[in-house]
Amino acid sequence: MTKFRVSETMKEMMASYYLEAKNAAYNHVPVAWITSGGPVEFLHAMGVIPVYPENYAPMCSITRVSKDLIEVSEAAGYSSDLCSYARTDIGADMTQGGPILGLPKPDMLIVGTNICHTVVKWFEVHARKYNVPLFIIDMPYLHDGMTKEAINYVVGQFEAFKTFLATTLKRPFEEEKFREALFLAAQVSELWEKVLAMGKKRPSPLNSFDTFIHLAPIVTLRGTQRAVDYYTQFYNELEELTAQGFGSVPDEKIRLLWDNLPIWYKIKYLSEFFAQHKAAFVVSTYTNSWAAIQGNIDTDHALEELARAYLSPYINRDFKYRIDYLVRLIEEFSLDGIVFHSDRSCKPYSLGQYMIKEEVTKRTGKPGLIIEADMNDPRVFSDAQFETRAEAFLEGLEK
Amino acid sequence: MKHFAGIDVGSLTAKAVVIDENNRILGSHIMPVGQDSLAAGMNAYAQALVKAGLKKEDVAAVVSTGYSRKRFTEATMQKTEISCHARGVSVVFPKVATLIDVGGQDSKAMKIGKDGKVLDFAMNDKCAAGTGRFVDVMAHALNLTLGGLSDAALSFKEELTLSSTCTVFGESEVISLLSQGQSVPDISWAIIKSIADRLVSLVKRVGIEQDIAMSGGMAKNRALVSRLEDRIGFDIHVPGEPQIMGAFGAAVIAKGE
Amino acid sequence: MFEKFIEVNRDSANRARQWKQKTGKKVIGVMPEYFPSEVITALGAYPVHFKGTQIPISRADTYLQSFSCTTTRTILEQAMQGDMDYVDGFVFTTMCDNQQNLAEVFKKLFPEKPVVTFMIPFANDASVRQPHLKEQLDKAIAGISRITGTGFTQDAFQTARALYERRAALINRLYDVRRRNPKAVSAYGFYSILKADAVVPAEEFTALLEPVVSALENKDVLPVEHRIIISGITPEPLELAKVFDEIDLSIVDDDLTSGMRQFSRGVLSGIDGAGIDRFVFGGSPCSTLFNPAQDRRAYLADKAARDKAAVVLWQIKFCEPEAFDRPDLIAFLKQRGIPVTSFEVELQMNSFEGIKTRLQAFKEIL
Repeated sequence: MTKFRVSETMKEMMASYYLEAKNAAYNHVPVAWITSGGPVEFLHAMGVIPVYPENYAPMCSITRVSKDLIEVSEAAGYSSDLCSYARTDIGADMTQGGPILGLPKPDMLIVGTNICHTVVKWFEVHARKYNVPLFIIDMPYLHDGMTKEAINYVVGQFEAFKTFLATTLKRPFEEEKFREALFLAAQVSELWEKVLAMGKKRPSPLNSFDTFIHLAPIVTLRGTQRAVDYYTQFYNELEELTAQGFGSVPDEKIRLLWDNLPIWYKIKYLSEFFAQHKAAFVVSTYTNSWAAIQGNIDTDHALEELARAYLSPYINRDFKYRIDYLVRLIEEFSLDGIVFHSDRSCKPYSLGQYMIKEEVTKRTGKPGLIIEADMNDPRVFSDAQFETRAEAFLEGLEK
Repeated sequence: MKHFAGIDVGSLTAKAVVIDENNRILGSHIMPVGQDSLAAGMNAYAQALVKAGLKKEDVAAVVSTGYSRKRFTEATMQKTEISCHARGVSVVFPKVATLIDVGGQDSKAMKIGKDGKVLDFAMNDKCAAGTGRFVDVMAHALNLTLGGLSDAALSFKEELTLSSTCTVFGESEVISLLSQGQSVPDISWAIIKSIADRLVSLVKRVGIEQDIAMSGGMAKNRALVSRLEDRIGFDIHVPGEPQIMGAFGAAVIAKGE
Repeated sequence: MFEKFIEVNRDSANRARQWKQKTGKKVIGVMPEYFPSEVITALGAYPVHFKGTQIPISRADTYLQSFSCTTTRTILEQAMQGDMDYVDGFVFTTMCDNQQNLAEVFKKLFPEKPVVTFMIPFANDASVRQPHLKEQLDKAIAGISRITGTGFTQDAFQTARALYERRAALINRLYDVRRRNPKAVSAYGFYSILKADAVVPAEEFTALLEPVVSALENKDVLPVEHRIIISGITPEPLELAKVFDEIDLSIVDDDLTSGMRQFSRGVLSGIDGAGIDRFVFGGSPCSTLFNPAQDRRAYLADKAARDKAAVVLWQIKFCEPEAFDRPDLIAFLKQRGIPVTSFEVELQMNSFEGIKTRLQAFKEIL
């Protein structure tokens, strides 16, 4: 993984974010647990600290405690077939474990269904335990593309969400602060898109293992000035590096796309493995999803724009869209192939990959590799099995 | 004349092949891996050299392959068994376009282009279904050898199905079929069908194109090959010694380097 | 007495083909629950529900990973084996991630068969979800109309409603008989009837069922030793129901998506927002629905207490909604003193020794 100057800034920023969150109750600031695709701008408007089990679970994975936490939740009866983020998070919650000794207690639970339906069931578990309100913003899967009906439906829920926040917090919804948060969030998403577009450079100054890590602020702090400052800095550093001809993978020969979530507990190993083979992941559908969340407040229809943005992530799109999108990325990023992480824990991302791979290869001639693993459960990963598959794939790509 | 060698150490067996410049096999050896994969590979290599009447110094280049390929630091190069099987089989059957290889831990279906280059491949997922290991365990549950399982399966009378593709559940299902009084040939055929079905799914993922070949030890299982031919609808070419195709391909690749 | 239903289930595809040839009408495949059959019937087609089946998986693995549930995998297997050749188009109700992606697989794999999607809403507020449901229903009606060539009319809808009212009344009588006299009907027989309901045209089904229910109602009431409620999505593989009969665990009621839940909510009253909302959310709590107004734990505990029954959770491996509910559900029931056990099955299973042992052990502690 590449060492950037901003890496330190990010560590500090994330540390202070978690510190604020941990001290929230002491400071009488409300805390919401929210999903990675949840509309966080509303929370910022109301001064609620958003906390992300989907950020904490990978933190547990990278610090190598996810296996123990997963085993705790399994011992409590949660099936090993369930999402490993949920199993990690439930285990962390039961034991107050992980790098920051558990997440601060939630005052409310906020779910967006634009990533999966699993999050509804998962947060229901917390809602029963903490006896706090669970608010769902249903952002339906776009089987038939972006429709007016879907947008209206989400807008209706945004309105209801405002009312919910006002009622729960017993104060009026802060429209002015909301507009500010929307403005900042849109800026962050735009900056993120620019950062990711640096992957088009040859050699690429950053790769997906970098963006997986540098995703944390946009997930957790989207809608804040801190995040805007951070990604501005990051982008400037990347421009500098590119001007110097810097490549994040030395002697970059093979350019790849990563599909699906990262394999968090193996991120360093995978980064080194592919770097050794001079292969760089210059783009991923996963990190791109946060660039898609770009509202536009300069219109009279800010909520509609926001609804459209939150409906847009790759995982919420139909297969035809996914195939066209991958074909487009192959062109735009001059890719040699695609690595599909078939993630046992993430059905909506994974089911259909065989078919998508087949058609993308047919249309572009670029091969794909399926790696079966899991984002957070290290027991599912076998180094030897992975290496055989990945090396065979790379042997086929050698020119 | 120069000589080349390939060593293929998989999860169950170690194979070594020594060839000359014309791809002629001068010596080959197969042995179980046992506890030490490096020793088994070196042993197989030594035996192959003896059979070829050669010494280590006579060999210009060695390629190692298989699960333990990286342990052979003396090898000129390490290649995955996928590339090696494809290369080996394409020397024997130059028109091969689709290759099925069933190994102990992994089953693969490959789409092969010119000169044995792998264009695409699909492999089994995490569970052992459709691998040599699965068949091993099932044969063991029936108290049969692998050859015995194939012979038994070919004399089946009734179509049974084995629903579990998981090794552990599959084994208990076999035992419960036995306890229900089902015959060994019928159960054997059910096992063969179950693994063949998994393999067909893999092959379909890369697309079925003629000619089709099969390598790996399981290619010697006549019942399996016949079931695969039925499901795929084409003949399957099996090399004389399917098990050494990985080592043979490794030797051919060694020659190219 | 149940032979006819068992026969229907064995041969449902052929019967559908014959029916289609005879009537010249279209067939709509429904995947799998929460879409009103009365609408499909009103649009001149015959709804066939696919809920997964005990078919060995040999083709579906080409397109679906083995970590998708076997309901999903066996449905695709059926389609790939040509068992759905007679279906003219599909309605997919997406209430879980597996079903959602399966709809997309169908669209790519069978482009000649239109796929209509009916999204189950997860919004908190009924006032927000109702207009959306109404839009979903309108869209589905338009989609099905394009397949059948018949538009929606109130007359046809009221006729279809009356038919489904009769069907629901009969099935409710069947449930009543079983509650009163569990020994009157075997678990296998009972669920064979419900399974046939998913594949037989409603008119024919009511004609088949009417004499059976009347006969059952006249049976002598026999004493029951162990009273059981099963809870889950669908009682598949159906063969497993025989195990309950063999070891004398009497199922007195169920809380299954393809069972009591769909009959506890009534027939679609009208195609307005409130009507379709009641249709989807008006039944007993379901793991695949988000309905903050309900608590599945309390519902099931009350039901079990009322029926003096133990609870068996019949779960299908890889079904996330069910697996997420399980730990809290079990803990809650135990706390209320209700005996509970659970097992996981895969649909293509054909050996039930392990589950039988487990159920026998459960019986011993009752």
